[in-house]
Amino acid sequence: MGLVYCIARDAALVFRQLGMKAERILEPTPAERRVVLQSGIPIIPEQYAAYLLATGFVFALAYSVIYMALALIFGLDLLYLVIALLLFPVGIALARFHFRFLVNKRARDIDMNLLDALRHMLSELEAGANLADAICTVARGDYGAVSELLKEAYVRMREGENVETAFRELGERTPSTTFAEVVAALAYYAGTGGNIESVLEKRIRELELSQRTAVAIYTNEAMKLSTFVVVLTGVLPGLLIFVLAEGGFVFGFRLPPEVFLLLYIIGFPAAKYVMQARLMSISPGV
Amino acid sequence: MRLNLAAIAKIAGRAMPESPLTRMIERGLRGHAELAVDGLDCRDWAGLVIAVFFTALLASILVIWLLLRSEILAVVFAPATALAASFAVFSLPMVLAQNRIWAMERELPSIISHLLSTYAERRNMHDALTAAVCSAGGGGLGSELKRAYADYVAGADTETAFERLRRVIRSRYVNRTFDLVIRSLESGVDVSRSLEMLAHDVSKTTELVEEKNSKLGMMSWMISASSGFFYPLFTSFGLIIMAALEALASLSLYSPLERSFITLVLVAYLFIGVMLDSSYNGQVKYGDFKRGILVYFPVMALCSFAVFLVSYRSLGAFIGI
Repeated sequence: MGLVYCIARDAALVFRQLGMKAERILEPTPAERRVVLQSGIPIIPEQYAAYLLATGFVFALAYSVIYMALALIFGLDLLYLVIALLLFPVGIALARFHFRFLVNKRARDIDMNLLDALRHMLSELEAGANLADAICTVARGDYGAVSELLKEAYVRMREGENVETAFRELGERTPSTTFAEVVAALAYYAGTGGNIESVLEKRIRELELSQRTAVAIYTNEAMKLSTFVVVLTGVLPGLLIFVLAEGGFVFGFRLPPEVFLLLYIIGFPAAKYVMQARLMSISPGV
Repeated sequence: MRLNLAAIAKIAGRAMPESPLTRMIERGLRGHAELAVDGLDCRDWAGLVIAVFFTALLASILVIWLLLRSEILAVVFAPATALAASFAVFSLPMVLAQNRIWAMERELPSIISHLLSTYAERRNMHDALTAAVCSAGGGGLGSELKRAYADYVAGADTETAFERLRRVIRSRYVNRTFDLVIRSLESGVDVSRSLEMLAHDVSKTTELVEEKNSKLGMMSWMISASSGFFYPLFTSFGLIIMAALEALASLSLYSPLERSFITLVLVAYLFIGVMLDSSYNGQVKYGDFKRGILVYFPVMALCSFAVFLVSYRSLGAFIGI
C-alpha cells in the first residue's frame, strides 16, 4: 500500500489510542471527502484527517530535531526553534496539496491508459468477443489504473450486478472525468442494447483529438512554469549567496546563518515542489 | 562501446561472488537486463554495479582529496559519489531497455503491414508470418521476430517460441500484436482488422509522443541545467567572492563554523533540487517520477557536485584562496 495509506492508518490508530478523533480536530470538507473517495487509497475521512495532522506534526518535530542537532554542532540561535510552530500548518497545507496531487496523478494515469485500453477493448469486440470478455481481457492487461477499475467492475458483474450499475458506481469513484464519461456511455449502451463498438470508436476519435490539444496546452503551460522553476529555484538561490556576500560588505548587513536553512531547505524546495507538482498534474496522457 | 561494456560486465559478473546484495540488485534489474544488451543477464549487471561502486570509491577519494585537500571531506563525500556512480550503472539497463522498446514500437507498423499484405491475399497467418520474417529488417523487432520464427519452425509450440515478444518485451503494442498472431496461428481466426487498428494506433501514439518530446525536451534540459549546472556554479562563485571580500576587508561576515554551516545548507539544497528535477524529468519522459529519480538523479547529482567542486577549487586557486 502506499506511504500515505500507512501514515493515515497508523496516525488514526495513535489518535484513537489517545482517546481523540482526528476528524473532530480537523474536519474534512465535503470536497475533501469526495477527493478521498476518488483517490484510490483505501482510507476513510477520519484517517485522512489523521494523515493531515500527523504530517503537520512530523514536519514540526523533524524541524525541531534537525535544528537542535545543527544548533549543537554549529552553535545556532535557539530562537529559530519557534519556526517549528509555523511549520505545523505548513505541513498540513503541504499534506493536503500532496493528497490532491496523488488524486490528479491517478486521474492522469487513467487518462494515459484509457485510449489504449479502449482501443484494445474495441479490437476484442471487433474480433467477436462479448462485452464482459472484452472487459476481462482489458482488466487483465497492463493498463494501470484503468485495468484496476475494470477488474473491479468485472468482479461486480460476475457477482450478479448488471453492467449499468457496476459501471455507474465505477464512474462516481474515479477522479478522471473522461473515464467517468466513457463508462457512463458504455453503461447506457449496454443497458439499452445499443451498438457499443460505434460508441467506442467515437470516443477513441475524441480522445485522440483531445490528446493533441492537451499536448499543445501543456507545452505552453510548461514553458511559462519552467521559466519560473529555472529562475526562482535554480538561478536565484545560486545568485542569492553572491548578492548576500556583496551586499553584506557594501551595505553592511549580515543575514543570520539560520535564515539560509529556512530559505534553502524549506523555502526553495517547497516552491520547486509546488511548481513541478502543478506541471506534473497537467501533463498530457501520452 | 557496447561490446566493451558487455565484455567488462561479463568479467565483473564472473568475478563478483554471489551475495544477498547481488541478489537484491538482480531483483531490481529483472525485466530490464534481459533486453538492455544482448548476452548480458542480471548477474552480469549486478557484478558491474558492485565493481563500479568500489572503483568509484577509490577514484573519488583521490579526486576529492586532490580538489579539497581534506581527508575528512574525502571520506565523507567519496561513498556518496561512489553510490551515485553505481546507481548510474544500475539505471543504465533500464534506459537501454526502454530505448530498445521504443525503437521496436517504431518498427512495429511496418512489420504489421508486411504481415497484413500477405494475410489479405492468402488468409493464412503462417504464410503471412513467413513473408514478414523474410522482409523484416535488421532492427530490434525484426531480429526478435526472426529468432521467434526460427524456434517456431523448429517445432517449439507458439507460446514458447513467441514468449519474448509476448511477455519479456514490456511493450503493450508488441505484446498485443503477437497475442493476436498466436491466436490466429492456433485457431485460424481472422485478426486482420484488429492488426490494422493496432498498426494505426502505434503510428498515432508514436507520432504524438515524438511531438511531445520535441516540444518538452528543451524545457526539461533547461530545468536540469538550472539545478545541475547554474546553481552549483553561482553558489561556488558566491562562496569564493565572499571569502575574497573577507580577505580584502580583513573582517569576517561569518565565523568559520557558520561558514561551514552555510556551505552544508547550500550543498544540501543542491541535492534536494536535483532530486526534484529528476523526478519531474522522469514524469515527463517515462510517466513515473520514481523512475525519474532512479534514472536521472545519480547522473545529475554527480554532475552538479562535480561542477560545484571544480568551480569552487578553480576559482579559489585563481584568486589565491
